Amino acid sequence: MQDEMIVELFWKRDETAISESEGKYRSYLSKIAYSVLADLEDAREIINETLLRAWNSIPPQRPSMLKTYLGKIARELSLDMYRTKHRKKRVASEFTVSLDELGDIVSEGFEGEIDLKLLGEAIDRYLQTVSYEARTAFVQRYFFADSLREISARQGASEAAVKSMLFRTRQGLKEYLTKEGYEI
Amino acid sequence: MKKLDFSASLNHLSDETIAEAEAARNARKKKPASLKYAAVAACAAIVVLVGLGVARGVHIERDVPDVTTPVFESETAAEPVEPAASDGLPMLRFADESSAEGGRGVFLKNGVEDLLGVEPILPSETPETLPVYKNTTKFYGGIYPDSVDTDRIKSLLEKYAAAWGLDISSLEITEENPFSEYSSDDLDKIFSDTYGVPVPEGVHQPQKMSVSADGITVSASQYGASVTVESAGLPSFEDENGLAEYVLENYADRLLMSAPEINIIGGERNADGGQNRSVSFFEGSGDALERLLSMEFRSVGVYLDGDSLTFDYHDEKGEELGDYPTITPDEAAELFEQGFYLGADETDVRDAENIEKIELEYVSGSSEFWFPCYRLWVYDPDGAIERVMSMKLYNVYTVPAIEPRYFEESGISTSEEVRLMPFSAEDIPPYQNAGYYDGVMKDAKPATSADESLEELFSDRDFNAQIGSFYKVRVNETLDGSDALWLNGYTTGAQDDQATFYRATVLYDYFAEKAMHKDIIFRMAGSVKMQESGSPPYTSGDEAALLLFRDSEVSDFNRAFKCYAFVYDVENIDGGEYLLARGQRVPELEDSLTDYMTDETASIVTSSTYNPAVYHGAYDPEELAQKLKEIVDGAEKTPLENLSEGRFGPGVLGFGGSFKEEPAEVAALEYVSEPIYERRIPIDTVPATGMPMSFDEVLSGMSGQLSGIAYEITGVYTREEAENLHEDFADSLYASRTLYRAHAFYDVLNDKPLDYYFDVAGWGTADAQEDGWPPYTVGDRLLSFFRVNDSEIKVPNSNFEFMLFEIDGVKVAYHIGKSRIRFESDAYPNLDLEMAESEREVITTTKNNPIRFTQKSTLQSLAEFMRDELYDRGLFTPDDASAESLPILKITPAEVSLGDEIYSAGDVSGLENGNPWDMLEISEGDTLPVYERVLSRNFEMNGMIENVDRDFMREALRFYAIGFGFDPDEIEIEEDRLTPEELEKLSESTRTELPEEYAEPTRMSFEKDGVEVEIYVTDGMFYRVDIGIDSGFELPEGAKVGFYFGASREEAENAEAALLTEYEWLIGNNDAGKTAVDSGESDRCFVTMYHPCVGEFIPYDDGTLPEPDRNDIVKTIINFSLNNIDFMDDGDIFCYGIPNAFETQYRKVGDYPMITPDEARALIDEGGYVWTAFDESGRTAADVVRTELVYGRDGVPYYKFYCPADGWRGCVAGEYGVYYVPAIEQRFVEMGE
Repeated sequence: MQDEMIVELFWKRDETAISESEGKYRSYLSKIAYSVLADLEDAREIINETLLRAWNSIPPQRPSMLKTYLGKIARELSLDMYRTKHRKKRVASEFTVSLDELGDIVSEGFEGEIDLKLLGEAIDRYLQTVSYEARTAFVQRYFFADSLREISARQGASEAAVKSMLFRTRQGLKEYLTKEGYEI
Repeated sequence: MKKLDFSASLNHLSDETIAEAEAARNARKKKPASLKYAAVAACAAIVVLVGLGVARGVHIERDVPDVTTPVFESETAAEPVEPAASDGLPMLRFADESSAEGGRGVFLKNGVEDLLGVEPILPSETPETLPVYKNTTKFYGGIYPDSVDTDRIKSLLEKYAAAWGLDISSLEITEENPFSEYSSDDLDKIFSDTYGVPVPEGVHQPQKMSVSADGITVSASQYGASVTVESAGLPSFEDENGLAEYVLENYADRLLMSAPEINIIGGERNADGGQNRSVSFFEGSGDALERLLSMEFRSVGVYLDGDSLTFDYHDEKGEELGDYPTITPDEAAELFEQGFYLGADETDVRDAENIEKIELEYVSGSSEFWFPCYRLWVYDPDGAIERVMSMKLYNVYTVPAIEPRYFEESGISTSEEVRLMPFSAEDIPPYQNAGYYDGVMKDAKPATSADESLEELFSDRDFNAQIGSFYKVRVNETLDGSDALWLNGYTTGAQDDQATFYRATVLYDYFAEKAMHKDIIFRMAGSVKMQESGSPPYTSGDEAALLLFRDSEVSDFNRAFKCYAFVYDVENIDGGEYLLARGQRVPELEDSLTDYMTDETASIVTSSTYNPAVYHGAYDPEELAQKLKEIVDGAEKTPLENLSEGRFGPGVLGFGGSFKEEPAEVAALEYVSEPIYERRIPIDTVPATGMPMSFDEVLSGMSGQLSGIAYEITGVYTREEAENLHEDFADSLYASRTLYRAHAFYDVLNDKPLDYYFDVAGWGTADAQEDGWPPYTVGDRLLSFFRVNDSEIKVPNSNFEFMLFEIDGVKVAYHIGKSRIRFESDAYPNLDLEMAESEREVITTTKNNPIRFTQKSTLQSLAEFMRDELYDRGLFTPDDASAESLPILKITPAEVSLGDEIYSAGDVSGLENGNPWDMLEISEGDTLPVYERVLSRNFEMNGMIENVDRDFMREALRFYAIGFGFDPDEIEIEEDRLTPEELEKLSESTRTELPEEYAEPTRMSFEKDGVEVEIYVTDGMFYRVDIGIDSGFELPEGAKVGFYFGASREEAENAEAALLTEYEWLIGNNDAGKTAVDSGESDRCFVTMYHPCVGEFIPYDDGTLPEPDRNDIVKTIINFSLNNIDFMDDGDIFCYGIPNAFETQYRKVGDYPMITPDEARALIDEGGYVWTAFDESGRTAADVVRTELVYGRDGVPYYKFYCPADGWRGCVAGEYGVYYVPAIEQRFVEMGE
């Protein structure tokens, strides 16, 4: 079913919207959650939560990109769960590995208040200045937590090349954010 | 800022950015042309079809149409087309454009009957070949031409204007460019943002030219033209047929066709149920193919708008590439099920059974190639739309109608052969697919690798006769165990451990060099026992090349020749496809091939951690296939007609055994969601009654005392580890059990929390696993009942084993069905939770061995029930006295090793040193865990240190090597070891026969690039590591640590963040680290880094921290005290401690009743403290100014009381002495000197 129809079902408060969304995007959402949490049970839980949250937010929301909308919810919920799990033990996921790479952008010692929305928008602006390959690789690595192997296979490049490209993108981002006045 | 927060900010990236990356993810990975089918399949997600369907309405040539093929002008293509390797036909590809309509949803009210339109060629009559054309206009991303042929536009304008009686030479030509209003920046953004390409030149050229005269407007683009007749004086029409008839009557000559044929197209419904219909014409003369081509590329659509009439002429320019072999609609349906279709649809509803209509048409429009395709109308059986809108939903898919081998992946030229290059073992990519057996297998034995000659291997003429081909297969799943049993004709315990059945798809026939798409079930080695011997258990997604018996045309069932003599894993390394030899070695074959692997062997973990694949060669698929084919062709064979009838078609051999039934086809076997090896376990029965043993019957045979302990598995020992730890295990337990490390957290019978570790010999050997019983793994929570007097290994009573889960906040215990008893709720109503069928089994460590449950209850009701039942039968004695059985602790001051007795710390009353003990709420009856050191000294053996784990020491050094960026295999570890001569000499001098172990090192070290790391056993019988760092890191300005040059608290605090960032890894990879400034001396502050279980957790979104758990607080105190590393500065950074070895260093003695700080403080005046020189200070309990709870090096908790020391032995104000008082009840303490 097309996304517009599914959104329409949400608006009509027809619960088939949930089953349609699940049928269409289960694997997509599952991969997002699993990449972060490395736990299938948790991933299932995240999917259910995501659909519930979508049900509660549409309406009033009317997402133009349902897939991305659901993906963002799933990722947000996954990060929340990751925080909780991470307190107990390190979550051995690809996400954890990718998170470590962000260490050259952020300083864990800095504890100032930062509006994550504004920061995300600034990052988005920066990403528009880099190449298509660099942008998609960055989002795939740090949003979707795809492995270097997956990304390099898609791009037909070596893992080393992708790693290097990600490094340069991160360095550029750091510079950009510094210029924009972010101290992270 | 935390990295996690930064990551969370990415949720605010724009939808477009995320969607773009997501689209790129769906573009399958780029593979070289040699992958043949795999590359074709990869195309499936890549899309196209901007013009698909557009071709259903438009126009044609001149007055005298020349629609005999070729339809298109024969012009040289803008770019040369790469030839295909085999028959010279150019390879094809799709534009890499992700917005196409694969699986586009369409409403139809009456099903496919609603669909309209002429079908010049029915799919069932598809010719064996059909022409394919190349679009001579180059498009960016399938959306916009990179240049515009203005001459062509003008030519078309002239052509169609003339057809309507207009002479453009006398008219003003208007040029249109829709992009003219955009600034160059905007254009740049539009193209680079959306399509990732620079602005095409064509954007700056006119896209259309038009002329108007006498109420007629002719507008041409480079794809055709449209003519609008204003005020056409039209009558009213009943429907589209009326309009079509009217056009034929009044405008037939304007259609530029000799025999225009009406084509009413459309049929799709809109949301209101209205039907889309439009009028089109195409050339009706010529054969079926000519009619189809005319309809697709030279049609004329006619549209009505008020009183004006528009003629839309479709007139594109292409180059014919040749006639391509086609596939049948059935084959297209099969490809569709395999996911080979155009478009990027996300749904997995691809059941060919739901295809209700197939049409033959052409991909056209902006696609790079125009080729025939089947349009599949696939009914969506879900019914949601039907309920809501009273319409049926169909998804439209398009499958190329020519053989898939002519497609390559977008952007990859097939003319470039990938040159295979030598590679080393480490270049082999890590295994990606999910493993089934990870972590729980017993030891791996060497792989079977006996050499065998080709003559021996091909000695069976019957076997040789049946070799089908050398196939590339992709494993889809392991077959359900019961199906496997049935297929194999097994009976329990017979041959069922010799083979595994896989459902797989044959992708490629290496002998015939052609792509295939056929589901098979094949059998090969891979059962658990074979796995143990190194044979490969494959799992979903694995790809392998196998010499298989059965030709795919003959049977859906297959088996590998000689099980694994010719087994190769398919691996892509740096763009080249290699076959990695995994099976039995065949030297004659290997010697005749080029081996691309530079290492002799490579070992990688595939589906089983404990049974890595061992590769002994890497070969070019073509070369290997050629050699194998020569061998197979040359082998002596029994004539087929002489072979006796097999079970699965003509031929000799089935799968062995005696078959109960003969499967008809693969489809007869149901897919299972998760493959299992389950085998039914016969339940023991009481001979007299034939009934399963009841709870009473089981318990009546038991004696002694039982304890019920809920625990979590924290580790799984290998057999070797288990045997080293416990001799008992090697002697008697291994045959049926696996040794696990477990953390006890709840005493079920005494209803009190526990917190200690122990070893439990639980289920989980390979044998047990094969029986369908699960090997547990880290994180599993269980409740078992043990004999109280068990030895150091606890062995669960197999009748009462439960798996614990928390469901909606309720702790639930599922009885594991291994029990021989009848454990039914009728008999024991307090076990009252109903269990749904879906709860009857759970997949834990292995998908192949789900655990079956027979009973469900809350943990609480189960505990009450067992408590009463066991108590009544004298099998359980309630607690109280149990504490009395705890051993008395002998406290030896020298072994407490808590540090200095005098602290110079300024005002200690508010000192924050990172010890979270003040978070601990202490109530009566609370306990604290007490540990003892694993290491000990044997004075009868000249003080030999016993229980030294040298593997741990070596691994620790490797860990530190990796942390400092060294290759752990390249560091040189120095070990202080006695030579045999030295040992002998020492034995003589001590008059003691010292064992060889005495010579083993207790100190190891390495030094590399300015980093020195030494690990050793201290005199205090604990491990310690000293690390000197003379390179690469400097503390920031104003930061300082340590004794040697002094450091103020402020300076040390300044160093914390830098040290944590740089050296957090030192405390292991289990959790984030925490640092604290330790105030050993007020002017010599250093930094302690340890693993925090509380206090420094990642906060919730609102910034609050989670409630600390008591066990976590205690663990943090332990880590703070015993499991840490301190940072000093002696010119270079120097650190020492042992942060990752608590469980190696200590074992738990028990949970001892603790005393309160007040009770402990009172003991100072009674001399109940650990002796130090400070006891001569005369300070009393009343002098205490600060209290902490810490753990001593002896593993015992102590209260640490600070008293001012000034005036005592020259101490000055600001110096403090400390008393250490055991924090457990005095009755368990025996103070030593």
